[in-house]
Amino acid sequence: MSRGLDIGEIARQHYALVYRFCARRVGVDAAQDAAQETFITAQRVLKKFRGDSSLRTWLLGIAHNECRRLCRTRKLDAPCVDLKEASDGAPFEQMIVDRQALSEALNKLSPEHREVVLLHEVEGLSYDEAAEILGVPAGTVKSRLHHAFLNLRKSLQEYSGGVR
Amino acid sequence: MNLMEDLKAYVDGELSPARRAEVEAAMDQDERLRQEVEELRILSRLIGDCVVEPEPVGLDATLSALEKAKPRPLFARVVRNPLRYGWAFALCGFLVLAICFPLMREARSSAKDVVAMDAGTGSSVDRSVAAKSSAVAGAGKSPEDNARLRNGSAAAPNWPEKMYHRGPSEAGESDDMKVPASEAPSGSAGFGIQVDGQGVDGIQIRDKADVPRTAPDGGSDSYFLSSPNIAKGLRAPMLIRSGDFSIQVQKVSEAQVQVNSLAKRMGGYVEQSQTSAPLEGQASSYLAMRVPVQRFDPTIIELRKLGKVLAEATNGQDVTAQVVDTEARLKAKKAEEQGYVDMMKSARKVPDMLEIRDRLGTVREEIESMEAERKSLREQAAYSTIGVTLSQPTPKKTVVKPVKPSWFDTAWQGASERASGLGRWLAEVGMNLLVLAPVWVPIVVGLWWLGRRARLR
Repeated sequence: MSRGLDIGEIARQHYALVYRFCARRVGVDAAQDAAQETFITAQRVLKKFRGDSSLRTWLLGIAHNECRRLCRTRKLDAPCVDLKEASDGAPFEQMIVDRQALSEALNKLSPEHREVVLLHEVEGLSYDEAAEILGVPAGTVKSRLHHAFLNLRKSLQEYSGGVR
Repeated sequence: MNLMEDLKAYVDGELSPARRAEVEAAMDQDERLRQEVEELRILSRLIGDCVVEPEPVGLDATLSALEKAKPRPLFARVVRNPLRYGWAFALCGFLVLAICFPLMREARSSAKDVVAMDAGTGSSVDRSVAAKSSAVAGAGKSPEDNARLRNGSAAAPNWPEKMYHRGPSEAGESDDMKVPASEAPSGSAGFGIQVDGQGVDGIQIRDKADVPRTAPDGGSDSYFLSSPNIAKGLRAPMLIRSGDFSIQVQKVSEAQVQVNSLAKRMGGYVEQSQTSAPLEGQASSYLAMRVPVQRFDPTIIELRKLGKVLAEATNGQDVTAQVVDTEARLKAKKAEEQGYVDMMKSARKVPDMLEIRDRLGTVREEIESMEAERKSLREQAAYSTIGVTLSQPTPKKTVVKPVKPSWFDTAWQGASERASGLGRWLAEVGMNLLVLAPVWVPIVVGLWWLGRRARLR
């Protein structure tokens, strides 16, 4: 399966994805190193890639491990989740939710819950893909996501009296 | 199953069709559930839309790093980074040398030992036999004779040292059986043997002109050879012949059967048989066979075919003179007896008759004694005794010659011993770690887990 795959081409196609993934876990400062290490590791183990999962999932799995390793070696803390500024003419739902409250609610989540929220809601991965990257069953992802959203809503309600 | 827990999965489209239908049915009946789903959908969309997407940087650096880290052949990697791989190659080389060099040295020394053994004359027993044969055969022996005798080993006990027999292939005069004229009994001097016109090895064939043509009186025809050239008026020497053989055979038991069979075939018998089969060492056997003297030489030839002849010796005692002397005295005594018988017939006085009877009795006793002696000698000369010692080959012992080690060998041996010591030490450490694993593994795992928890916090 790995025959015909060029790591340079893979890097050009998926670098942005991997970089953003890393930036949300180790911060922008270390994201470049993490992304670079991810592709170097991928280059080394490319022969072992059997195509059981998508290339994107495989790369994000490597990036996940590299981020954990980098956090451990550099003693990095998980960065805060930054939200975009509200623009004029923003949708209704964006108007009713205080962005500051949402940011704080996301940052208050436990690492496990925040991880699944980022993988599913931000990276757009399915439960199965997120489960493969994290190395946990899909049911665990589903459960964590449910509880993460419960906590988010609870935090938001505490902050501003609820979305409603 | 809790319906509330599946609402998020319903929003994400991750439910199975059946479960999805159940949730939708519940939502149709419950307004609160529909409101929950809506809030989850809004929150999910908000998170996806509001989270900042950082601008990726460093693609070129990554591509450059990938180019540098591109897998290269092992040789290229070693050339580029010799320090990284050099120690591995050095270790491999050391291990290969540590294994191969002692083996090569051992093989080389073994080859030297084999060459040295081949160059020598065999075991110490062989050399002793050779020395014995040289001493016995005298200085007149040729080097080839001595070399032939050195090929044997394991001389039998009480080995007769009078003379050694020569092989059948050697032609010409034999020193072994030659009796010097000065030592030969007067009655036997000049006797020769020829069987069916062929010379017999080991026995000197003399010129027929030297042989006396008159047979001794009283001699039996059975002691004359059957050859028409010498049968008439020529008396064969009365030899008490004996031989001793040491033969190396593959299997002693089979050889014993063959010797018995040979004795019967030659018209003789096995007089004595001793077999020893020690728990440690090789089995051996000694057989004493008696064969007619005319079959002595064919028997020897057959014995040589049994196996490898380690040593052989034949002995011939010429009793012709003794027999002739006995017969002459017997003849005289019989004549004396006849004289006494005639005197007895002509005697007239009783004292004379008594005196003659006493003399006659004495003479007759002497005649009987002489006849018994002659009979004994004839019987001894009629059958030859051949002692055969059978043995199995013994495994060769490798003689390790001390070799003076060179400085390289000494250094190598020291390094090998140190490496071996290091290996033993590492093995001991490994075994201790393995045995004590129930103690230290939980401690290490616990410490690692605590450290990991501390880092995650």
